[in-house]
Amino acid sequence: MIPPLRQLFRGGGASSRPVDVWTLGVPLLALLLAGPVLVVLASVLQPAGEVWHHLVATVLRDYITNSLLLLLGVGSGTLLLGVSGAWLCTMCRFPGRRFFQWGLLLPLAMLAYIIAYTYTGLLDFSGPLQTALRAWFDWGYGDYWFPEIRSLPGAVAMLSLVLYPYVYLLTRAAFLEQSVCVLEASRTLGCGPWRSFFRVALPLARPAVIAGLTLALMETLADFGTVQYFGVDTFTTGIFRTWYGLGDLTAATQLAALLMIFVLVLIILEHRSRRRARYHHSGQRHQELPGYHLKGGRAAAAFLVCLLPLLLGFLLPAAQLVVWAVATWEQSFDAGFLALAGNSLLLAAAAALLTLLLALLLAYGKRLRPTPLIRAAVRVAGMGYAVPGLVIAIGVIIPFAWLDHTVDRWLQGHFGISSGLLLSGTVAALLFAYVARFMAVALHTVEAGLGKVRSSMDDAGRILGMRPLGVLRRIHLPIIRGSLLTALLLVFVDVLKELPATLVLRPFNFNTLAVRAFELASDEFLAESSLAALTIVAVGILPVILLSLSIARTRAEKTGPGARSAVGDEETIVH
Amino acid sequence: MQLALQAVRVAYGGPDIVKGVSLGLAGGTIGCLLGPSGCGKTTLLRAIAGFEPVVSGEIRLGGRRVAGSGVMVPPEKRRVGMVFQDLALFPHLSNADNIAFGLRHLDTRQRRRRVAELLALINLEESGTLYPHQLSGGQQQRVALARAMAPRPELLLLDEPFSSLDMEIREKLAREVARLLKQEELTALLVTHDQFEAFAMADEIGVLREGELVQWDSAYNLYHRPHNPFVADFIGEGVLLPGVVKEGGVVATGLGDLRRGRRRSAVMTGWGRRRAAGSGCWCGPRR
Repeated sequence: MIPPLRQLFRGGGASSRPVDVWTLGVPLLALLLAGPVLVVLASVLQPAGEVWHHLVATVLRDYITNSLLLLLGVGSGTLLLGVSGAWLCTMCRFPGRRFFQWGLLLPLAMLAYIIAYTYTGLLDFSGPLQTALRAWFDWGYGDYWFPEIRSLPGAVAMLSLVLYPYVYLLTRAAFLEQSVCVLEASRTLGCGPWRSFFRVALPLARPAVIAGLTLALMETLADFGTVQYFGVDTFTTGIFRTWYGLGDLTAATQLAALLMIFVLVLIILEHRSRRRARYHHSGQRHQELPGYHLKGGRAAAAFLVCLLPLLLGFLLPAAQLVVWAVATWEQSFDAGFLALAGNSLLLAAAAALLTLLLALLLAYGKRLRPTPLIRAAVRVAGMGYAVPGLVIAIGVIIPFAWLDHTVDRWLQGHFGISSGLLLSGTVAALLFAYVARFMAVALHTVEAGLGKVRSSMDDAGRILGMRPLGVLRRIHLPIIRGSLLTALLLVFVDVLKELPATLVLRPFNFNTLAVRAFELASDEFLAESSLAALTIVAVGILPVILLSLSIARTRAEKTGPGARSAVGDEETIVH
Repeated sequence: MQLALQAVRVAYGGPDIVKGVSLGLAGGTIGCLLGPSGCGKTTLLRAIAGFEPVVSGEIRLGGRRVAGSGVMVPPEKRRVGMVFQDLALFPHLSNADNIAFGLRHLDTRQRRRRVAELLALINLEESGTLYPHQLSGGQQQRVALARAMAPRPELLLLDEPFSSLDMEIREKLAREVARLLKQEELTALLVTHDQFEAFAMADEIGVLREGELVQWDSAYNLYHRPHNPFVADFIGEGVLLPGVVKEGGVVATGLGDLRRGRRRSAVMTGWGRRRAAGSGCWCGPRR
């Protein structure tokens, strides 16, 4: 082995150990998990086919324009809703503030495509709103103008309503972390409370705002259900159509690669915006931020500003779903639904367990052998989370199909038997895609948990007479148990919600709640799809509760030593 | 000797961090390794505890060889206690359970009695059911000490145990800990870069410099008869005078001839027995 390579394998402080299970296993596992992303990226090297030229000549410009407009719209929307909500809930005192502090998180449980078809049902020509308008004003068809919800602005509205909590959450956490001293310094330097906010508090929170915004925009790029349902041509719908409509997997993969470059640019921009300045606070003193007591009209305005996103992003669609679910209860709640729910829950549970197990392996590998190679490998393993589900699905299907064909051809040639499809179109492919996509979620949480176990605690356990396995069982496990459960829950919910990857990779005739809700809604059975949708939303509330609890803990321990770690938890949950 | 090191070398795959250290610590005494950061004192301590293997040389604990010549007894089998720099109290266990952690070989009744005994010893009888984060820094420190002492180790190691505390309580606590160790008749080895801590606690002090033990001596001798200017400078603020060695162990300096030199090499000469603290007068050879 050449010396630099050997250096790569060896940790900074660890004594020279031979290459072992960790030093080999962790990089290999990471490579496997990054496989789908690498496959898609590699497609750029393939010669562009006829379909690609056709795409470039016709629709590619639309895909890019629409995706950019969508990003712009959702970016502005989430910023407006998220920052104003965080600002009011942190800096001002008005009736209902305590409720909104966690209530504003509720839309996280919603899914953009679910509220998309809920609003379609509400706002369509035959929906309750337009019917009521016609009845009140005695209008007929064509007598009035009504905004078309199935449009790009409609998609922007839907995505903003569901994604603003990312900005809200991180911005609010940043406000809470700010030392009161900087605000007081600003006041003594002659800035009024509002000016202080704009000149000091908001610029200080900028990295957090941008981090939240990046998350929201990444979700926007990954969205398939909403834009497909609204008929907006973006990258994800384009990829889907190129593949299923034009039947060209290569061109679809190349589109996916282009989409990934968008994501990459987002991430790079986020990093650069953070690097330029230091945002550490020199002050140690944390105390309740000075609340501005709002009275009368101002309090009412603040109340409305907070209520609106919550109402439109959660309460109204949820209520509509409940009404529909109750109305169609007898048709939709049958053996078929139970089987569907069983499928979904089992799949999500299996994926969550598998992801957690592998995340533990990676995290322990990094803890035991913190060589540069292993650190890099662990980062690479978490890459899938930034990549849209549809792209991951394509990255999974290509190598699996190739493997199937190779095995099949070999068997045909040698034994005259056909093995058919061994991997593609099986639950295994689906599970692999989920693990590759959601590894980062579990990894973040597990690493945060393991971070609480300082290495001196291992040593303390050993010296008090415990063998390595005993240390694992009696020290590590109790300390990281909470993190493990959190990781399990987060991946579980994410898998349950994941639509595009499931849509593409699921075995024939295998349905999940998300797929079923989407298919029924696409076929205009809005009411019938509500039970499946409602189930997903109900489960999706669990992480929101978890999040609220961890925030409450932060507040309770604001002065205690646990405050920092609780803030860390929050960020992990969001990421 | 309760602890005996024979030419111990420790390395992390590169050059030696500890370069052949030998020392002996008699039962019931408190030793201290003193040196600037990065001198290898913590590495040596970790080698004694069993967290790092020795490259060569050997470590004996109570006459039993625990490291060297192919022997490497794992830390849990060495009967050594350790107080860590960051204390490493287990956050998921109460203070009493922390102290009881190393007492699994006892039955419940004995264990409870030993824990109560230790809580009384460190004056925290009321705090057994509390968790570490509910205590002050000094109290956490005492719990960490009690946890390490609980299994009655043959040797107690303390790795910069007071570095996280305020100056004021640091020295007070150091004296208190020394008293506790004496009361329990424990043999202990302390690592620190703070000479006040060393003098407050230790019977014997060793000064380490870049992995080498420069001097291992009683506190008195270290202060009054340092072997070289490094030790002198590190222990008190030494004043160094240039001097020239003349016949008969007499050294000529700018202040006149000095005749206290007893060391044959006469490289360095200590002078003046009745110095005020930190005002030693030193001379070295002129080149």
